Amino acid sequence: MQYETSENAGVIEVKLHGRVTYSDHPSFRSVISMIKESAATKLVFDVADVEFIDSAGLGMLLMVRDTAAQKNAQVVLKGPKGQVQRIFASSKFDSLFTIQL
Amino acid sequence: MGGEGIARLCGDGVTASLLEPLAREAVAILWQPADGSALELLGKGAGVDGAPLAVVLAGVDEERLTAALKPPVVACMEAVGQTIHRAPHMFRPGTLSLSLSTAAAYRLEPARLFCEALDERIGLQPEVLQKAELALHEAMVNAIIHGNLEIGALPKETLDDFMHFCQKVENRLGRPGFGDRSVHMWAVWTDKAVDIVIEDEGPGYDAASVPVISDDDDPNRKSGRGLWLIRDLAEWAEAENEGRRMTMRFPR
Repeated sequence: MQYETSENAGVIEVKLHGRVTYSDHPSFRSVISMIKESAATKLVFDVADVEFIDSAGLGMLLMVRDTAAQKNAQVVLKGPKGQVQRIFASSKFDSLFTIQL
Repeated sequence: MGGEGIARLCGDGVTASLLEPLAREAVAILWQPADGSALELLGKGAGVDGAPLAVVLAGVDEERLTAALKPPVVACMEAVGQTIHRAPHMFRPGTLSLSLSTAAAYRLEPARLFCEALDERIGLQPEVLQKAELALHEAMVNAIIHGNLEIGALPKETLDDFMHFCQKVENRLGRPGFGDRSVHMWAVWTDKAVDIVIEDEGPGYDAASVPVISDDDDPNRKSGRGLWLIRDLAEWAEAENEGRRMTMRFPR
């Protein structure tokens, strides 16, 4: 997985690319550190360019959500497609995140 | 292989002596020159044109594994040092198999390459291909972690938990008797369905003892989704061989 982050007007945007799997925990650690240090009230994870996510990747997004919740920040998952959209639906992520198609 | 001598055997990056035990069962022994040019025939010869091709590959990486899984190969086996991670079954047309060390399987995440190689042979609907890749990936992670590395379910509620878990995995991968065990995956197909199988060399488990989470269970669970996903994605899935083998069926 590759990712880029930007922060503007209280919104952190994290754009993910490629495959999100168990091997990406160091990247999520960096992103979670950034969230902890920020005063942002909204996090947008742009997953439009993610081609594959596994159950560990889902778990790491849930950990991001927990971190955001501690700071009363909202998490948006933006642009899921294909396999990512399907696994979000079957895992009922729409009950936990705002999903923006 | 079963001693029937049905395969052509191709070594890529391995010594001829390492191939010897397998070569005794092969109808032809071929060699892949380092420059990637045409296979050379080293010995034997009967049935060279018709027999399925098995590849023994050393120094496996994504690029070399992708090349090794191209048709007409029916089996690819990783060689590490003096060990060949040898497929546990016969090589025959209508099948595809891949046997790797646990360490390589963890590093390479080969479900995508394997499913793409399968698609190249039998053509799967895009949605079925996606489902098969994710199910095989999840089954492979289970085979590696809970099978060959013998790591039980650890709490993974926080990223610190997850980092601790990953450190334990890395430590086990480097320990003799764990990271050098084999992971085998293979596919067998008919006109109507394809069965994808993954098998590890761990101690096994009692499949009936694993709680089955249902689709109305807690969506906030951060781990333990793998088996549920496999059952959700596959038309049919079953643990066999005392939990060491998982067979998953997908429609064609």
